[in-house]
Amino acid sequence: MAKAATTGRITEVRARMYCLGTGDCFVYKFYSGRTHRFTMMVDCGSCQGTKDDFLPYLEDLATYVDNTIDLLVITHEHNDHVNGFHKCPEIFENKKMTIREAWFAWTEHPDDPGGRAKDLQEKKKKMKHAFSNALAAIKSKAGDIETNLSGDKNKVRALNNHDAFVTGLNTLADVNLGVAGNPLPGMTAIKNILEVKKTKIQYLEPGATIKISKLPGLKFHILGPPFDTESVYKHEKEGTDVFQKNKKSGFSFGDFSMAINAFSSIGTEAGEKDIPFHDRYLVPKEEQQSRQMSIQTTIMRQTTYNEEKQKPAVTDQINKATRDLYFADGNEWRKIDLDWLNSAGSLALRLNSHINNTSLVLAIESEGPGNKVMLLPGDAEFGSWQSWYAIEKWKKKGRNEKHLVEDLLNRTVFYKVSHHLSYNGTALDLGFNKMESDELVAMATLDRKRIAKKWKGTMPNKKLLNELIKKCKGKVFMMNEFDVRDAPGKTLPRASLPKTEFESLEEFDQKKYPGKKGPVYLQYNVKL
Amino acid sequence: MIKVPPCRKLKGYAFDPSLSLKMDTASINDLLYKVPWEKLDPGPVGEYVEVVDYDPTIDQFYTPVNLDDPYILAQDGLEPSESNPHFHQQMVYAVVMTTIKNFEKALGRKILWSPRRMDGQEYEKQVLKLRIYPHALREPNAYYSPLKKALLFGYFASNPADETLHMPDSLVFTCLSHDIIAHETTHAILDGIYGLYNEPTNVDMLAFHEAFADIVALFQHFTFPEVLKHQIAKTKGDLATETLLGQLAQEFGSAVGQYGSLRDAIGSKDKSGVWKLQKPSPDDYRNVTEPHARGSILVAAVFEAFVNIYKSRVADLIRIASEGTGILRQGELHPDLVGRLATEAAKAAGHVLRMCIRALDYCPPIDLTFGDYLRGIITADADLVADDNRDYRLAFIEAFRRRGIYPQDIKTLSVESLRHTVLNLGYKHGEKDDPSKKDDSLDDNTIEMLGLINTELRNYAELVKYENSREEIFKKTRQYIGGVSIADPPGTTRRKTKQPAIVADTKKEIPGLHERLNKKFAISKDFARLTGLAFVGNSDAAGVKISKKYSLPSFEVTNLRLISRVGPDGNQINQVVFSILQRSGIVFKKGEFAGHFDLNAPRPKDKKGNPKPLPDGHFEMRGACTLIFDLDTLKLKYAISKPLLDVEALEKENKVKVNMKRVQTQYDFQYGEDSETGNEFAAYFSNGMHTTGEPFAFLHQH
Repeated sequence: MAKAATTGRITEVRARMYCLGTGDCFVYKFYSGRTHRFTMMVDCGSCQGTKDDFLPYLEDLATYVDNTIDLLVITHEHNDHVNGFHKCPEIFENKKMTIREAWFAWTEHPDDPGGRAKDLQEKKKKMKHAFSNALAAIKSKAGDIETNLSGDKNKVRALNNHDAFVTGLNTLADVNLGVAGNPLPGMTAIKNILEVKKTKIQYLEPGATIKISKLPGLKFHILGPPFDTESVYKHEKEGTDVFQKNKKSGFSFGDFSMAINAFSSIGTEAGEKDIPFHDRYLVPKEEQQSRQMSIQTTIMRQTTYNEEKQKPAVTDQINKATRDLYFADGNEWRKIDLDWLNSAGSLALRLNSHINNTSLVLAIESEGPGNKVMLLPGDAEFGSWQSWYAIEKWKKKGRNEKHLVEDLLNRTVFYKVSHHLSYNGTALDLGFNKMESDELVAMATLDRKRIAKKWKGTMPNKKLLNELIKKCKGKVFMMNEFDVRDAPGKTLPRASLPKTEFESLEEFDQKKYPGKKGPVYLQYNVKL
Repeated sequence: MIKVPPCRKLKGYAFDPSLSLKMDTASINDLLYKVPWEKLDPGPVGEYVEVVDYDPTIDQFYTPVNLDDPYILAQDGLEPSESNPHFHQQMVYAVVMTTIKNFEKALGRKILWSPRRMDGQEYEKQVLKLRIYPHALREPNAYYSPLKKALLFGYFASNPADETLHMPDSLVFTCLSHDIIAHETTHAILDGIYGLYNEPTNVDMLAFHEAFADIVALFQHFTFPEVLKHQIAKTKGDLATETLLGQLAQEFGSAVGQYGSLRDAIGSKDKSGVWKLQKPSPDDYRNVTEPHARGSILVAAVFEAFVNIYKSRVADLIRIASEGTGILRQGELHPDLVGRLATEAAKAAGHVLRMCIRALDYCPPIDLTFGDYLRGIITADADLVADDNRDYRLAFIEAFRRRGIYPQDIKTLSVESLRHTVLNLGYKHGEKDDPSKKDDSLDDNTIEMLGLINTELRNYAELVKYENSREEIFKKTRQYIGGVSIADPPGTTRRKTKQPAIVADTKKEIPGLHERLNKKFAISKDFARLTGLAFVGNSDAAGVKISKKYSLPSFEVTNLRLISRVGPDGNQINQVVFSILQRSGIVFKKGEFAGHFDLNAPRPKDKKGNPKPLPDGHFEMRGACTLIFDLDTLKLKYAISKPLLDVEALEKENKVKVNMKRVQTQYDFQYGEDSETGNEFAAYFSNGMHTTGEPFAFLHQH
């Protein structure tokens, strides 16, 4: 090979999205002219599908990379980004398969010197434990609704609501929780594979810029995940920060530390629970055990505020009356033992966001004309986007004294849409509105047919999709875009260009799945 | 003999505990709530509410406070304290009762909680006491549960945006915030008045529930003159009143976070930190759909009306104090002036609050829009206050207009056009044959029947007018609707439609209003036109099933109540109101209307024997008409309709068709392409807001 060719700068990136279902699995091949230089793979997962469903795609992928992955990037631990490694390990375990280097976010660092990663992992563990505890408790309570609401007109409705709630929790549990409190299996699987292969691993921190010798003319900027946990916490404002409002914390427990404590202590002894008041205000437990005693209606009206010493019997009676009101026959329908557990829903959403915000965020900048940028944010949500601008050393490092991140966004020509087109995966003022390039193309890892049940309500966010289609002049790629039909009335806005025009795009390539409607992959060749 | 004390004084926070930590607000944060006297059991458990302090998150009960303890009575209740759950119980009780009192004052009748609907023989059970759980959740949330007829309050460790105000990880109790308690109580009261407002059939309904609850919480604040006095004095000469009052309104709500968002539309701080009243846009109402954001438009509209009313009330005071210049001298305001201004503001707030509450009596029982509500406000006020010399009604219309809130089918916006048409229908005895009383608007029989019904409704008024027991009011009202038979055990309220009040021994039977209506109007084209309901032979064509027993279209009678109020001029209103409700089964296929289904047909059961949900594309649409009868003139005064029928087709083509406009609106909202799933929480954890039995638990989530 002529020397000029090996040093020639990278002029094209072929971005290939494997369509396993909603979830990320990408191969980026870097070319200098017509010469292939480097292969990068990012994530491998889908929120739905079995090993057999995955295999055809991953076999195609193995052939395509020709047994060599120069760089494997794992954005974050969610199942829809990594479960391919767990479901089809043989593809990657295969001795012929070389993985030269792997990048993870600093949050995955097993012995991070500052202890920040560990702190975060502990927090995550606590949240997961609380969530799975609460989920188990909620599932076990369906019978209570049946008995407590017996004869109530709203019983069926309450049962259906409970089902819907459990479905939602299961959806989030599938992506966020491992089996029986273990870490998510995909992440464990790939780490084991890399260990066996003795692949070089880097844990990357925001603010880093990496050059790769095989990729002349390219810079890899690391934007996230953020370090700072507090600055990430912010209430987003609809219409400026994000397309749709959703208040959530970044990495902190937010307002949920009390709920986490309570969930974690379900089933434990009273002494281990955190009580918000002095325990002299508690009705003693022994009395609670006499719940079933007959209901006494007469109450003596004296309490401990009287200076004469209370006769214990009187206090007991008052306390008993309160309990009886709660436990009396005929009052079951007003019990609230299940309601508080519904906080697990908010907790699960926070956990989900928390993990999304641990996504490794890459911006690949070209030194070619226009200094074009490819943005690969994983599933970063608003909190992460906001933190990019806080990277101190990039202040005024962009053109016109802009922050480098803003400048990078200005020049972005390829955007891997964060978090499957959800409402807060793409920041509005700090993200979307900063993408100014005429050449912008977006790929979204969303498949409305192969999607976790409860994701459909939020993905895609219609406003975001519509605006994105406008901005990209129709060049928005979704899996299965032309096959999407949904339940009556719930049709999607027809995305992007007409099918024929789409397929005749010079930069576009795809492979159809024989005998099936969807593609094996969609590909767009980005000229840098 | 010492008389019963008129009220019980209880110490509490005027806002919430955080304001007691700020030097400039600490002094106004302690308020003495005056609630009507009643004998209380420990809890407190009284006539209207029962506070049950069970904390399910730790499976423990907190001991109940005894507000009748002489030591507590002697000091006007316990001192405000975050760490004493007994004070928490006292605080919720005080604010809930204050809110109830405000409603009763405005409505002129007792508050009844929404009854519990039953599935068996029994139609519904009265719920005498709203249950209050002050420590029920561990999240920054509080809600009213329509299923449990209970208020659930949460607590949490704060993670404050402003760490100077809240210590991080310090506990925040939602049951200590006046606004939150008043807000949630209002949800419960509104549910007791209109149970179907919980079910969103259009984009306005949940927004209305939120906004209305917030309006009550907000204006309840302004009725405490102590609070206003301090603020007015504090801002010295600055009497750009809208700024002061608007900022105050917002600060009230922001202390605990989420409730502030409802007031965002009032104003915001600009870049230099100066608070400015938000300029309304006529596009707001058209474009904003999220319930809180949409509700905030209504809150802002009512607030603007209030500010303008206040300004007109104090214009003379300002002129006097500024010697006609309009510009006050530098320095502190004279305390008397402060006092007068505060009194005027409190008075205006009280008026606005009562106007907003009274409007409910003139609203349809289903499918409410903000426009309907505006018409309710105007009609209610025009009925009670003949001479609107301070232009209160105009202030409301103007504020609504500036936000693009228009009722449908109204050509112009004026007091006359917004007020519901005064019908004055009904022949008194003998009038039918008197040519001078001839009324051509409907056929003679219908008008005669209306007159007869009206005469009978006087009996209802007599029945409940002097009844003080809420239990009896409820019972008598149910019996008046459903009828009584000797066969019924005492206290039974029967199903209105499914179990007609007919027993073997008809002599012992007192027919109910439902049955009387059934006999008189079941088939009457004119009555169908008037109400928009399917009182026609082939009601099937509009999806309203014929009741098998009667071979007449089925309907329900709801919301029967007596309106008895005295206006400022000493004029008295005596009206009886009830609503007629009909249901139609609608089927949509592929996004198109595809006919009707039988709502009463037995549904397939699941494994447990519970009926399965309706198949895709099947839903229920309701039509309703509120009829307001004037007891003094014995005329039907207003008919406020959400028509089930296409009234035009009935009139012009004599065709019975369902009202497609309403069907389509409901379908688009609940199932259509632009249907909103609500917040992320609702998207994940429900099958749509219209299917959930706990809409408020979802609404307040974040």
